[in-house]
Amino acid sequence: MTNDWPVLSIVTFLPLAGCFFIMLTRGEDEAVGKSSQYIALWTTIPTLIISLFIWVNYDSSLSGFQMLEQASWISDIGIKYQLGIDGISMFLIISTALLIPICIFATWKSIKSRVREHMIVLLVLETTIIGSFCALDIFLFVCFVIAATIPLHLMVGMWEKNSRYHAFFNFSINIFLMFIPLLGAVLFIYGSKSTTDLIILNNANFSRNSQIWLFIAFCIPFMTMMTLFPFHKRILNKQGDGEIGTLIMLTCILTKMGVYGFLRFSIPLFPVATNLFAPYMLVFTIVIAVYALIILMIYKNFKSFVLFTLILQMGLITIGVFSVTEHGIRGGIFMMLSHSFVGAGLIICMKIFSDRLKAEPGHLMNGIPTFLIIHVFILLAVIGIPGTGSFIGNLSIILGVIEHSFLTLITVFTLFMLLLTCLLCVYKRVLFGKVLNHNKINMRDLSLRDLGILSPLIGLVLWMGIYPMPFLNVMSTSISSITDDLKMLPIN
Amino acid sequence: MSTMVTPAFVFASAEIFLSLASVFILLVAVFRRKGTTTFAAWAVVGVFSIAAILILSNSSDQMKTAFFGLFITSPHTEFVKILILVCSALTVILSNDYLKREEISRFEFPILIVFATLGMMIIVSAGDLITLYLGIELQSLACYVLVSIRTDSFKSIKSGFKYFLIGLLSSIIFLYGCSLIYVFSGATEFIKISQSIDALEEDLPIGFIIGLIFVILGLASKISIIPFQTRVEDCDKQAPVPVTIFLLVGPKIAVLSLLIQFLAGHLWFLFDQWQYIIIALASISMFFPSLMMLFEDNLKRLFVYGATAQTGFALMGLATGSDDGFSSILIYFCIYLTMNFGVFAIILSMRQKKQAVDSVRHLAGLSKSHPFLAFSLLVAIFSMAGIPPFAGFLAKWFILISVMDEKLYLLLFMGITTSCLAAVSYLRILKIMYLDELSEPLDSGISNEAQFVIFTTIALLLLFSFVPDPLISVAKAAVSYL
Repeated sequence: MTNDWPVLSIVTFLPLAGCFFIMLTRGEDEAVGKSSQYIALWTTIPTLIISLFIWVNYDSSLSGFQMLEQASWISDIGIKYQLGIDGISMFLIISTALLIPICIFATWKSIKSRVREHMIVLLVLETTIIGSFCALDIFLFVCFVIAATIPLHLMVGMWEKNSRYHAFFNFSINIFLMFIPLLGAVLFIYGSKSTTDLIILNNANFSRNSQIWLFIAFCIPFMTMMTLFPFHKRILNKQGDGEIGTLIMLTCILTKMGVYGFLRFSIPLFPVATNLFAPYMLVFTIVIAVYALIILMIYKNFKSFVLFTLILQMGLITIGVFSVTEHGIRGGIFMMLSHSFVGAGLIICMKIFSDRLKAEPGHLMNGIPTFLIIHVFILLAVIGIPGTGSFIGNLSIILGVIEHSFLTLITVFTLFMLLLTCLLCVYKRVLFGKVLNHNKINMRDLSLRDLGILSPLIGLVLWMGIYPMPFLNVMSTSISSITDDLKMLPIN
Repeated sequence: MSTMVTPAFVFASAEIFLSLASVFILLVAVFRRKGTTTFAAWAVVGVFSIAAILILSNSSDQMKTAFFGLFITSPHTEFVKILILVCSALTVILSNDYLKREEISRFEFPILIVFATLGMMIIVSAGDLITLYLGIELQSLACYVLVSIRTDSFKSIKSGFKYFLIGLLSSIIFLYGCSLIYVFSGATEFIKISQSIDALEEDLPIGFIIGLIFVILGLASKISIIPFQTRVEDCDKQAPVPVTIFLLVGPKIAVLSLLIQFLAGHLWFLFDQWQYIIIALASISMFFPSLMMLFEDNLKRLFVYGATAQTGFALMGLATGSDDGFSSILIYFCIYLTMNFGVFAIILSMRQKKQAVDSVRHLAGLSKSHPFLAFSLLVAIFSMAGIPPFAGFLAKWFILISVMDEKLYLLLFMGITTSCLAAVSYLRILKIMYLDELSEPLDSGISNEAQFVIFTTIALLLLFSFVPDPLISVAKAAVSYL
């Protein structure tokens, strides 16, 4: 394939071009809505195909960044427009490119008002998120990240009932929590090294004190993005009343940006601080995971169950990342991928329950066998049955934690076992609960569209579980370059 | 002898042309029967364009004085004068339709704007304290009348009178400072002042510093930096919107560039003395408007406070005293002009049932009724709030970098926090626009001029965030002589 094309720029900005076309549509509300949905679909599916080209062209034996694109943006201060990928970001880009069309499909019928704006916001979100995964210049990254929060909060505010003020309030808090630390950190980096280019900065050394401050400054926004405690209220207050698009976006993609930020910026740039803080972060995330697990055991309704499961999985991912071992990080990234697919599937199932069937899961489902099978499979995938991607991820995380210390190993292992028990209890409650009157429930089996959404997710989960080598090969060189840097440092 | 005089006229050709042309248009307009205001407006716009061409054709790389040192031209003054001419031209373009709808259409309006512009250009090019005073008074007098152009409303005449009194007060402060400076330095020309004070070396008279403080405060109060913002609250509510935007952008740019010229160009050796004043002024004028904006319901006042906060932010660049700081102020001026004109052009077009409205609540649900208008306001507001990747963020970034290079960390922190505070109030507008329910839609049918202005400003803002280099290099060239 041609390597002269700026593939990454195309993948990043193609959705924006689609946005432009959607803005040109005119006419009646319904016709405009329909046409904007089709335009969005026709933009995001080529984006997905192009991102698959990236995978094909990626050479997994090279470490370092590939498919670099450079252009000088503000030549006066030396800020460049620089995009590039390596093993960590490549899959995140592909999973984002996959999840957005799924999002469009999933909200095909459920969004009735202001469809056009919804599509525009989704496409802008796709641009900014993919851009932030590709960006190799810290300034560019900060621009994309902050630009990503705008459509996100617009989405939350516009299409969820009774959450307008909440969205505004969240956005304001976001500004203070994310904007100020990020901006301050970038200013400081620019001031001390007079460049914001990541490739150059990877070889630069910061002093110990500045590393510690910078790590903390980068930590706050990334933790906000990951919606771990104490920032988890951001998802919680929605309580699943909202549209499915927002939920998928929030939990599956934005959280990944937080972890990616750690992997790309905090750990490579500040190795001393990472070694210093990693044990504390590890303990912290374990505490969060335990907290989420305890709440899971008090099963209130399916929606809160889904949300807390996703928080728990995010906790597991960060446990993997902060064990700063090769297995742990690999497990973390792998879990990130499977978490996005499984999480999306879980949320779609939840929406099918609440919107279509209008019933709590817990009532026996006769007559909808396909949905039953898929739902069961996804629940099992959450647990991490061998054969699904989550299992490989969990295994890697446990291997990573083994290298760390025995106590953490015991804790994490207990966590997994408790999680298994808890999920099986939920499983029982969900599928073998009280039987309702069948006449009252609209027992429609899955339509072709739902199958179309869910099957790629399930297929990918199965693929990652049964034959994970393509994924792992790609990641391994990038991960080993990170951990090698860390190992060379004495721990102080 | 003749070779000495002609170059002087050439340097001031734009101002001379403006004054002559304005008188000429006034005469013609008095004797015309119909359509005087439109004629006057477009004639004035033509005059501004010719003046801009005159400035550009005489551009040079060095600072030159004319009229025996009363008048200075330099690349920096040329840059700022072009900005002022653009500001005035846009005001006149916008005012045409607006004044007709408000039924206060008078042909004196464009002429007064020409006089005010002339005053501002004299301020920018002033090389002497007396010339500076002349420019200030010319601009202020024209603006006093402009503010109370709505002669049939008692409130507007009252607010115009208040504005006059406050302007009088600031002129008094300024003149007192001037007299002190004259006493202690023996001259009123900037060059001679700096020479005589420089000669004194260690024996710097305290009276001179006090005089300098008074001069700076007088100038600052002219552009309503806190604590002289009372005029903001009153007259900006009563004055018609084009006057508000003209007062918002023009004088501030003029006076700030004069401060750069005077303080940084001539009194450079007194940097340690005046740096603290500027830092204090900048901090105060960033902090208080950002707080007051949070509770403001009137759109005009909200954006006027916002503009005051932005002027304070630009003052931070002056406090750095570095070339980077000064060029970043110039870049900030450009973007400040574009943003504010975009926003106020939108406010201008807000009408409900043929009445001009300007409360924030009227913007509710704008995204449903006027999606493109809402989008333009979104771009302008994000720019003002300083959210990447919009143009306003880059402008603030340059100033912040220059402040950081000079290690003024407290000021940096102040700047970032007040920006975030102001951003919250701007976002409140966005929330009302996009998330609130539509109760009563605004009238559609924005005038052509307003559409043109909105479109150009938004396009320029978006363009700057992608291609910032041309403007940056022009700004750097403009201050390189300092």
